[in-house]
Amino acid sequence: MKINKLYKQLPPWLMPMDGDGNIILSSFLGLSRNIEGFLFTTKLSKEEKARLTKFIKEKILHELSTYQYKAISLEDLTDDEKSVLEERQLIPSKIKNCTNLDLLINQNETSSILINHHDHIRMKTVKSGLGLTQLWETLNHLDDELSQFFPFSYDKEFGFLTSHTSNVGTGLFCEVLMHLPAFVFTGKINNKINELLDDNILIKHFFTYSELPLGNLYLISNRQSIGMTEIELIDQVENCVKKLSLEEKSLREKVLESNKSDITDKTYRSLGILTNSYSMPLLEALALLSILKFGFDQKIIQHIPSNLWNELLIYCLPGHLQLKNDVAENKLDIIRSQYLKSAINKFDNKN
Amino acid sequence: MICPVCKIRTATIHIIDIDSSQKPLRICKECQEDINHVELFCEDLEVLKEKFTSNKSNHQNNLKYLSIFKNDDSIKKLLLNEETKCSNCGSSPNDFFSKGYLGCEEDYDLFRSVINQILMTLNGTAQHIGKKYYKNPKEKVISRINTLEYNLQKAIEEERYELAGEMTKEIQSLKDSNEN
Repeated sequence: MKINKLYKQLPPWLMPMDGDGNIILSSFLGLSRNIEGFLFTTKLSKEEKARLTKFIKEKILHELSTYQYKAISLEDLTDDEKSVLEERQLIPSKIKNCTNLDLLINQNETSSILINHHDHIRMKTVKSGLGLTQLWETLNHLDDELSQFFPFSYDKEFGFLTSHTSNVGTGLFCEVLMHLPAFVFTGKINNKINELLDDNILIKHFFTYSELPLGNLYLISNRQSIGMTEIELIDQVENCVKKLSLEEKSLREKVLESNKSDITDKTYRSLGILTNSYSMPLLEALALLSILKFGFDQKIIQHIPSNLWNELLIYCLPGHLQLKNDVAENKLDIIRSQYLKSAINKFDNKN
Repeated sequence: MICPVCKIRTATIHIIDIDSSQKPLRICKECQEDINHVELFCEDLEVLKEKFTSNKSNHQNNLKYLSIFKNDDSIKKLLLNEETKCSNCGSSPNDFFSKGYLGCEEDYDLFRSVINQILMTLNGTAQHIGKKYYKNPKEKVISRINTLEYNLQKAIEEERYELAGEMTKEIQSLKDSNEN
């Protein structure tokens, strides 16, 4: 499968949705499994790993033909193409140097299987908005189907065995992407947020650049994967996300009440800089886009369709820009600026 | 006095660092066992507490936890015993403690007590209660077929056709028996 083909569509987790899609952006759900009778990936030699990857891939493609998975061999990709996959959340970050990994994805990227990363099989489903419970139905079904021809490593006490003890048990990871600008504006992201989180919940930055958080986007996920059922784990994350969403909503109202003119000014200035710069670093672009999204959500900016934000976010990332334009790295900021300008001006100039 | 690290148990151990000007510290026996002494004296208690209470699933912290267990007597014994090695994948306890990764499913049996302890410390439980997975006799056959098919690939690559022929026969007969 060609990466260029992926480029043309928005990733499913960024699909614009009706209703309350402002704060809770997307849900990701995944399962790690190992196949009985084979050594874990970490213990395999290069040749064995290549052979096992091929074996698993061909078996899945053959047995699960209804899913219409397409295979991508990460070995054959350039670094830029891998960055595109990473930015689309199809492969974990820091995977670039791993060898003999294969990725299977379905046509609309909602379901993917990563073969021989830390575990033999890592399946993942995604959707926009909050919908972990729905995703679990799909994933559980896929898991059942896979187990028909790949008996899994399982232990009565520890559950599904994984190569690292951190996700042994259910092997489940649930992640929800949230946009929390009001938490950041009010400085409550550091203190208040911890009061709202259960012990079993982790919060981390979605984008980081040299450890600097970018774009006020946060991932809420489960810390523990043993000792609770899958549904309980999902409920725990969903409840926490709902709590955060309510708090963010009320903080947004408070911020607007006290500083409406300031916020309006900031929003239009962001729009101004996005459409009038010559060079736009990623750090700045994501910060401005966050304010712009806030402006869209709170109906401060109404002449531009708010769905445009989803497009701007993914296409301004380095991998996507590089794939489309193939420029030297030091020119990337200029290309980003040109892209943002032309994409926004399509709508902005009409008014 | 309540132990300032876990804030649950009573502090029964009094630690004084003779060489430095650090304040004496009173903590409970359990926490003392958990914390590496060297670390205790070179770091601020606040920093230390944060380290041990936040983001425990972080991989690095997991490794940290593993290193803590090195002080445990039963684990020390396991580590020092050079003969403890997984017969299936060759993993030694040191591999597990230094990298944090296990080599195969049999490692879970070999290190059962250690893993149990790690999971108990991190999650408060080590018992899986989620989706149950039953292996029926049919799946055992499928498992055998998988191993054979994988090895068949290898035999063909190495041009060992006689062996490959035998494997193909066995795979076919297993498949036939599974269908009946």
